Amino acid sequence: MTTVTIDVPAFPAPIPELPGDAGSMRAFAADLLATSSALDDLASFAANVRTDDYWYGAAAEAYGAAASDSADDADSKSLVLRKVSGQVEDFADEMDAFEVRRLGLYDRRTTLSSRRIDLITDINATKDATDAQIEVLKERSRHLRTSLTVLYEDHATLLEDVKTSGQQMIAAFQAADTQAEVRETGDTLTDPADAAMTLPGAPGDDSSPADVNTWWTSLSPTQQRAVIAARPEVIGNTNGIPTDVRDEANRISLDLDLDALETREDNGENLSFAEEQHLERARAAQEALENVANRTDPVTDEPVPGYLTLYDPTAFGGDGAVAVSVGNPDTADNVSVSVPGMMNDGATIVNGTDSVFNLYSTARASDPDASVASTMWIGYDGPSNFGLHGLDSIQVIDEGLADAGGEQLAAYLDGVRATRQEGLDPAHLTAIGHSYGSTTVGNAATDHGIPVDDIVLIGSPGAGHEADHASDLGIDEDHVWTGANSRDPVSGLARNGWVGTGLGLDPADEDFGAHRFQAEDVDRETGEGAFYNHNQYYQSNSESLFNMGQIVAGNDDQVLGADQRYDPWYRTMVDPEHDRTPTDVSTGYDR
Amino acid sequence: MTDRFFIDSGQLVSSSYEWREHADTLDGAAQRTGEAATSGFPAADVVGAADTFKQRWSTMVGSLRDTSRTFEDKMLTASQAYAASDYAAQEAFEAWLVSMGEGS
Repeated sequence: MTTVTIDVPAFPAPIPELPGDAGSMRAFAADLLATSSALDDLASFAANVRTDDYWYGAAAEAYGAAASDSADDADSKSLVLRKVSGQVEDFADEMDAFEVRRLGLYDRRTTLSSRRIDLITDINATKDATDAQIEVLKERSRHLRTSLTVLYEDHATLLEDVKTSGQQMIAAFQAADTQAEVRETGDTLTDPADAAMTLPGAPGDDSSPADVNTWWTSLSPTQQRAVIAARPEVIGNTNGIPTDVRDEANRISLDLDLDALETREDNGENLSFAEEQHLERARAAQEALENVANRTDPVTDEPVPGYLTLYDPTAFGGDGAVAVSVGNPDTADNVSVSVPGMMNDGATIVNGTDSVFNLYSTARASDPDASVASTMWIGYDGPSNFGLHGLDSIQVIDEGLADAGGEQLAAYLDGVRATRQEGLDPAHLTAIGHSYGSTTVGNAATDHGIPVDDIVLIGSPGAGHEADHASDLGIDEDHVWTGANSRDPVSGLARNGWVGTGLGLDPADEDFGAHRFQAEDVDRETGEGAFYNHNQYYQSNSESLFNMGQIVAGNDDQVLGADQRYDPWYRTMVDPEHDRTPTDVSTGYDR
Repeated sequence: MTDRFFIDSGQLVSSSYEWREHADTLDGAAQRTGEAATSGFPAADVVGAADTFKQRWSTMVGSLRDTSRTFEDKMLTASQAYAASDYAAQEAFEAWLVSMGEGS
């Protein structure tokens, strides 16, 4: 017997992970962009210090000249910092691309490892081989060696590219880290933001969300970065701008608000009432985002992305406007927008994110294969004040605020449709109104039309002035739903027959024709507070949340139905749910 | 110096407050820039360059903050100076008026 030696290459060397964290680099870029935005604000202010109306003379002229000088300085710095921020973002994108290449190499290495094992197995199994068989094994070995050589060369090229990219990043940092360099570079840069904001479809009264979206996607990355830095308050709050961009812009506005107000507070200065209110709402938005950042998806256990899709802390006389999305509405399969009611404003968004996270989780559990985005939208002036600084709660007895809110909600929902990511099917979109928010949803639907697939009205004091029947809401009446706890005093205010407040017909009444779902609470008799049952609709493991999760997920046949209320002529309204024993329904998630 | 001037000193105070707001914002921005995390960059030399960059920019932003604070102070000082000048002129005339009365 003759022994033949076949030289098999060594086990492939590992393809280790690349150093660096693209997410952390993007956070660094975002910090630079926020600072660029602060500098741009200063430049705009200082450049437009007009004194003629209240001050002229030699001193005024000297002041104007000094302010102009500072404006130029701030403008140069803003533009240079914005440029570097973009370079960092590009660098992070390159690192992502390098990681994709590395994963490709990793897969090739895995394949080659398997081929090597197979080859050794075949060699060891071969007895009394012919010359031809030996040659085949040798050829496989040579081919394996060649493949490994190419793999190692590609890996070396990758590492060299990573190094080169890093050197370019270093050069970018070093080219702009002295006053002289900044001045020199700043002189060569122009701000494309102003011109971009005048292009057709730019945010403004005449631009629909679809127009705005077309405008946004037509801008170059440099223009986009410029308008985010120059006008974050506009980009963050305009319907039709993609969700991730609104979030980026609003986080800049939030950072700058906190910078200014917390500095004043840290310096021991007294804040005015308006400033305190402003700071309270900024902190609430920050806390809401942290609240989402600390959550994980109940199916994948991965972190859930949170988006600040509306941030205007001084809107509505200081009540504030804010919206936070759990999951990305531009890409999710199932999207919901929740509208809260009385006693909600920009300061209550943390509780709001608790509610929509519960809804998100339940919808995910209802259909684990479908992605979800749930938004708490406080974008209208809901009835929230009783005190010295406002009395808008009195307006809960009429529909004035719900009328105005309906228009704003309709525009927001149009924006959700307009920002759908290209190539994806339209989302299954559900609008949910709680309490006075249900009246707002009703008015949005009847007065403006809303582009949703399902409407859910919970704890409703009335579906609005124009909604006498589910079919009046402008969508298939089979997709109009309502949840009404039999002990909910607010739901009891809605009109049944001719008895009720002026906010419209009870959507749980048989005359309205909506699908009523079970929404009783197991502690409905013992819960503390007069409004306990009014505030349980989003609680985990409740009938209401279970059913809303099914509706958001599109599992209509899984919804637990309830008998509608009715109002015989000889007595007051009858609620069949009153005598049903509530159940503890698993929503697949315990807070 | 011109021979004509006009002043609404209350507006100077308002303008001073506006400079203060920008100074406060830049104060926070300078701090955030200086504290921005650089550990995510992929190599020690890149991290080093990023660290140098952010520290120098924190200083540059801080410089504009200081400029804004100076504007804040100078606008307030100017307002007070105009008011003091007006008051001094008023007092001078009133004192003269009194002295004329005493002389009659």
